[in-house]
Amino acid sequence: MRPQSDFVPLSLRQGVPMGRHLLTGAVLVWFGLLILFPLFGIARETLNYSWETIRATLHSPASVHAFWMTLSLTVAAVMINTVLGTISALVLSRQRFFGKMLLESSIDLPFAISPVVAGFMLILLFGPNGWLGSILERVHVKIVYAFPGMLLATLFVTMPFVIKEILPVLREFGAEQEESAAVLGADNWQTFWRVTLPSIRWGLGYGVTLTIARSIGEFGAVLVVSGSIIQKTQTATLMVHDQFTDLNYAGAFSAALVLALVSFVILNLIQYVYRRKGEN
Amino acid sequence: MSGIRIENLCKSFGDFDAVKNASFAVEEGELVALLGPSGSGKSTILRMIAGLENADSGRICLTGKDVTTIRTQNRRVGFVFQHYALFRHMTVFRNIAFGLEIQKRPAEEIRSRVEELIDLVKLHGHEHHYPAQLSGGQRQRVALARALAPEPRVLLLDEPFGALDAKVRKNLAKWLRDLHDRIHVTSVFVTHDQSEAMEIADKIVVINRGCVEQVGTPIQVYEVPHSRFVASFVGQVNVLEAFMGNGKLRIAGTDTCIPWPDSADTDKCAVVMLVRPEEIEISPQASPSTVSALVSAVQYRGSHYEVEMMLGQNQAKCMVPRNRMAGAALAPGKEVELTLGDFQLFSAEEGHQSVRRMLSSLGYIE
Repeated sequence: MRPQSDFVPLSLRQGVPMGRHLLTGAVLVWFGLLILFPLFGIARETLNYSWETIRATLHSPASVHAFWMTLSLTVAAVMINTVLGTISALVLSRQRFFGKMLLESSIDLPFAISPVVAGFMLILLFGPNGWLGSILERVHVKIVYAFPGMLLATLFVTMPFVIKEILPVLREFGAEQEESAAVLGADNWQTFWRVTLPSIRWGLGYGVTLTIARSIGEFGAVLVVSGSIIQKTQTATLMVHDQFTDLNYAGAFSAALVLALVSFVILNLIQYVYRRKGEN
Repeated sequence: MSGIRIENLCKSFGDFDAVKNASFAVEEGELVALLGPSGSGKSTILRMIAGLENADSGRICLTGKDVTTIRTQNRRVGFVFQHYALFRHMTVFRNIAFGLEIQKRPAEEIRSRVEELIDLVKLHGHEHHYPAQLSGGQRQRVALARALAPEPRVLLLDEPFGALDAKVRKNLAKWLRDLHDRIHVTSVFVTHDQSEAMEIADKIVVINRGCVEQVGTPIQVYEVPHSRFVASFVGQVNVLEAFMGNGKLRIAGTDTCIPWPDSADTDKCAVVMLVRPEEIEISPQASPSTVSALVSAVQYRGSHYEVEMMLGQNQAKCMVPRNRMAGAALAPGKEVELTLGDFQLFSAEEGHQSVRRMLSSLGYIE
């Protein structure tokens, strides 16, 4: 027989106090109610319908168009945010200029403003009677109730992600590595690709995954500026809402399930990127 | 031909004048220290030589060419940052190869040059390690190899040993000197540690508040300091208030007069005497040329005792070797007689030039 070890798990030695069990239980219930049950609910609801029904609703022209719309918006928002977000963060971390403090404190603004309000602001500005919109109307450029407006709304709500993720990384690793590269003969472009970008890549990756998740899920701002016109300006998320209010549950649940699965993939991506970011 | 020539360099940051009219030259193949307290502008000068800061006015010449308006990338200097600034996402090999890759040298040439440098800085076996896996001293050597790889015209080092602990620092400083003796690249390093500068530099440029106070060999800077600042920053020094006039020099608060023929025709004026501790000796008996003092403290320092005393109204200290201590029987409160060796006189107003220098062996010299 193995000799008795002095080590006894804490729980056995003292007995876990009742309060701690209760707390653990409460957290489990809280997570379950809030996150796991709803997911399970969607999956179960969708499976009430036959595979054929699900396939048919997902293949309907409106549905295909909506998913296509979501994909286009997401890709465009990610590309623009990656490039402009990186440039903004570089300027904010490496240069001194008048009004920098004000600019920096406004990065969080999109998080603080309700997306619906953000949408309304875009309408006021770019709508047919808005002061920019009326000018653009004359040259036949349509922003509101069209793709450009939806993209602007998506950009507005996702703009902080990339900047906020890479700004601290840029600050932390400082300008010295970039100066080193310059002394060794590298021009600004070479320095960016060989030194700066590799240093911020995981922060940038994390910012991009958050941007993707938010672009797919954005509802309020996009709803206001798009008008949710079927087969024209309806995204997958807007379609779920529309079909649900129209009592078309089969369509709503199957589209929702697809979105939930995409989210699940993104969640894993976020976890992976976040861990790599921590290692670097 | 000089390696580096700096002429009337000025730089200010807002209202702060970081560098004021700095001029000095570094000969080809020399190892020069820019020595000064922190915030004196020495790093700013180094960064201007590299082109990392733009000079407001003045000229910088490297190996005879005016580079004042040339971009950092084209100056061909090697720069070692205080915190190394190694590329964290690259291996030691890739770090050292960086400058050569930018120059688009053939892969085979890059490989042999990097190997040569790894050999030089003794980092065998670390080629494929990342900076995070190295010790401070090893990182410093990688930074040095990286700077040397593209064969720079001059090598600049900003507080190269500042981030290391005392023992590693001493070894690495000596190693840098040996390395320099082998490769002879014109080098300038910034330091606030006077013993480091004295130990390894051919020449020291002493900088205070953005101004060059003195340029000279360690011997010149230590033995013939041009200003009170240099005397007190490089090594230890006793500052004694004194009066000069009517052919005599009298230390304030004492009765002893040192004959000072030079000042026969001048009226009495206040001066300061700068005396290194090792130039003060405790003599066994009083004589007309000795100065009496009162011992205030005696401290053990291993190889010697440090004796603090009051010389009239001045505080002073001197060193007494351990083997001489027994005979002296020094204790606080004891009165002693001192013989002064070399000293320098400065006018009492801060920052003024040396008035006279006295060498006991040579008599008075200008």
